[in-house]
Amino acid sequence: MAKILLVDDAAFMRMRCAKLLTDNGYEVDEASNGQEGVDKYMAIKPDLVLMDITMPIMDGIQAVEEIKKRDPEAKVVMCSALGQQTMVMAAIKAGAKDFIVKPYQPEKILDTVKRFVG
Amino acid sequence: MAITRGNLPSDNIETLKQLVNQALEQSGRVFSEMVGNQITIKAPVIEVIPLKNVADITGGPGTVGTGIYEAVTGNVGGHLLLFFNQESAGHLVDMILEKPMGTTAELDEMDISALSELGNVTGSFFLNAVSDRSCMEIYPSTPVVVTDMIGAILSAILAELSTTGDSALIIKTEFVGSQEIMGYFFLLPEPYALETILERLEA
Repeated sequence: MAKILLVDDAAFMRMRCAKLLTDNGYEVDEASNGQEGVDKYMAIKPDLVLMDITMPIMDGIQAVEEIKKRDPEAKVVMCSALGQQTMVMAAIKAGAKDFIVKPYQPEKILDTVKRFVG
Repeated sequence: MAITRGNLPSDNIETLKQLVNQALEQSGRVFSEMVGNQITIKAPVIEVIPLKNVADITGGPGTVGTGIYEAVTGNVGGHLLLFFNQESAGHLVDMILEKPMGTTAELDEMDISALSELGNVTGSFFLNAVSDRSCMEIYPSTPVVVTDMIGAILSAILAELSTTGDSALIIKTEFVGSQEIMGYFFLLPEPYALETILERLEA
């Protein structure tokens, strides 16, 4: 069973995404900011990270950099809002593999996750 | 559907009306998929009114409720506000999170997060529709959820706008699921932004 780490400061989005992914057979862990995301990544080594960009304590771009420093093979997909193209590009430069534009749509999330972890 | 043109010269309010309805219908569909229960979003009334009259639409400046605010940036600027009176905000949260109706009195972190995402979906789909049709780049900011009197919520937003005598777009919005909940969706544009949007829709 593929392990997905959700990193998002929005409790509702974590809840809905976690439900969607667990209902589709994925194992899910959650973090509410970039720093917690980095720590959880190292602790559980997930197959894929879905990473929000704008978060308190540590944002998603810095978190990608930190994760890639520790594990260059890490697969991270950014979750961006409209108008965050510059930040998405920075995250891709930092090593993110792809991005999903919010608002989240279940089919898009599942398609993206399947593409990276099957 | 009642539409008041106010003093805007544009003949293209009808196009805007169609855009609003399509965007809300789409956002209702996406939000329903997201939350896992059917919520339809309708816009029975769309009006263009003077900015100074905005608070009166909701029952006056003292009406307490919850606003979901997003700044609008890009080729035109402004503000989006989705506002519900206190009871409606609680009922909406109950409907989204499938709690027994009347459960939510004060908003906790999960409630605020749910309303924030509702604002994100409706704001994004509305601005996307306008953006696509007008060939302009228009983006919403991350939503902020605040509970206060509508007068207090608007005062911060309108402080910079109220002296211009500009117009606001008011969309009375119904969220229909297990209950029918009425809210107000406001586009409070920077000076001439609404006129610019309408002109571009015409082009």
